[in-house]
Amino acid sequence: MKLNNIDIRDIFFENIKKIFLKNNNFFILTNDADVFALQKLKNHPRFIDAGVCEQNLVNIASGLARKGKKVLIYGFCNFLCHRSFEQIKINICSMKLPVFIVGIGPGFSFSYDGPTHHGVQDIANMYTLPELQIVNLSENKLAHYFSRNILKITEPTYFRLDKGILYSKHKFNIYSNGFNYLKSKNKKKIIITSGYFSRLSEQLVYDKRLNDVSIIDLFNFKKLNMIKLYKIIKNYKKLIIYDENTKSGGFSFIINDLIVKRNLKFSKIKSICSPEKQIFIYRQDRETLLKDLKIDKSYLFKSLLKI
Amino acid sequence: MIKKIKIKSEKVRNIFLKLIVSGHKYHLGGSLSCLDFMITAIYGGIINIHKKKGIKNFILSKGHALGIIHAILLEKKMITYNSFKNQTSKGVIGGQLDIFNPKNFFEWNSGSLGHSVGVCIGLALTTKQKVWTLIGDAEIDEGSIWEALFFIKDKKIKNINIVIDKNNISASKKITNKGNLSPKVLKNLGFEYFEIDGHNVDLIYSVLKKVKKVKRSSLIILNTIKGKGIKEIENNIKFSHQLPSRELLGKYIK
Repeated sequence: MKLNNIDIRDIFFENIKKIFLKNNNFFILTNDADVFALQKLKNHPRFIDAGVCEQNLVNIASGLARKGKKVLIYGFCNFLCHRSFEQIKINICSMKLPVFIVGIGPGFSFSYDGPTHHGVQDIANMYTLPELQIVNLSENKLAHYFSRNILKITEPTYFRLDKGILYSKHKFNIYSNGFNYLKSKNKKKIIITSGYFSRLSEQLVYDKRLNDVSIIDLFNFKKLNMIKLYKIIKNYKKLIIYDENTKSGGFSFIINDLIVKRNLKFSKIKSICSPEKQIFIYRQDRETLLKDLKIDKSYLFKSLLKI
Repeated sequence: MIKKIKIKSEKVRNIFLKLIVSGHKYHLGGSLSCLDFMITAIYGGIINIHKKKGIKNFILSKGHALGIIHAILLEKKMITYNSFKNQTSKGVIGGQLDIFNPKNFFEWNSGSLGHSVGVCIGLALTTKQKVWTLIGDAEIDEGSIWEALFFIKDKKIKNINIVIDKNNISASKKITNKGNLSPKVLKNLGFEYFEIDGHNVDLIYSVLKKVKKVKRSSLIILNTIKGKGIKEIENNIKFSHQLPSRELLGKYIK
């Protein structure tokens, strides 16, 4: 599979489809969400469209998993994470069942559909569940790796799956640390980011040839190697936290906690996150909405110059 | 069989009351309302209980009635009283059934209402055996139950039995004229439908035997009395959470 020109959803779900067809123990469930790669499975007895009822979806998935089935559920991240939060907490997490929850439409990927479809609080919400792993599939190689190896995962896991071609031309460290580090020649400024914003940061840094800006892409939030993260970021003077989620709904608290615990000193810290409000702005494309909210690539660029 | 169930019912009731008198915290009213069903189902061989493997394919959704399960485990000597006392004092056994202690003894972690019918769908899809859940009548307001009921109907799932303990009192109020409990509504859900006196052991046993043979999912309404057997607290909202005096309960221990 060529990874550089395929939509990340197709990479992920094509791999899942192959595993599903080979493994009679594997179930896929959805809440009426349509995914191109899985359309042919719709009449398969192990493919269950529970309809628009997320609580029931999660409950069914957990019952199947309790009996040893491998279960993947997918749907809009907001409806899975928030609507069925208690079901995930009690029936998946407290039971320690390895159900894979795939949240599509994270961030402002559905920029025209209003706050019901803005997935900007899910990371912090899911982080509150101690047993749940959280993987933000920010890059095509990452999505390929996790989807191909999904059966090796034994813990309940929430995957955030964006859309579009999220391919990094650079080496991507999938195997350890829970983050990827793109090191600049001159270690002055560092952006800590995740998901779609990681690719935006990368495009900016390489398009503008910003030799003094490094990037950390956090992708496995519960398995971050905090010692390594600390050892890297302590070398920088200026830090930007760049998150498409809100400050309270994203990963900011993880970094803030690290800064306080390790007494890290920066000459400048800036936080660029989605505003702490429900956004009733409707835009045909994500970039325009990000611009409206002053969290787009050009705003990041200006901030990097000013900081 | 009926004679045996009635003897066991007395024994389990006594153990349960003794546990409360000795300081264990249970919801008395809602436990006594479902006691006759639980005893009949378990001692009548309808819901399987195994000395080492515990209770499978059954979810006690109204988890606040777990005292009855504890009393059954003690009566069946699946756990000794000393071990039970020891584990409760350490906080290992308490106000919820969980799958960890004793390990995998129960099918599900109890406590949160409205989940079990959906979970039963998942369990039922993996087996041809009947899967059971006992839910409360106030619990039926949970939307997730209705999502699951319609799913069972639409997908024609045949091996789920849902028992509703209709004691007509929720945690804080009397339940009257509840539309979603009306037979007109429930009978239209496509289940085999039974409505019986939930304290008549002969009747419960004969219906459960029928249900075991029926080739579709069943809905069994048990008309019960909250606090059944202790006249001073029967149908009294005050005793949803509150316990009567030890002296009063002592009078009912035989």
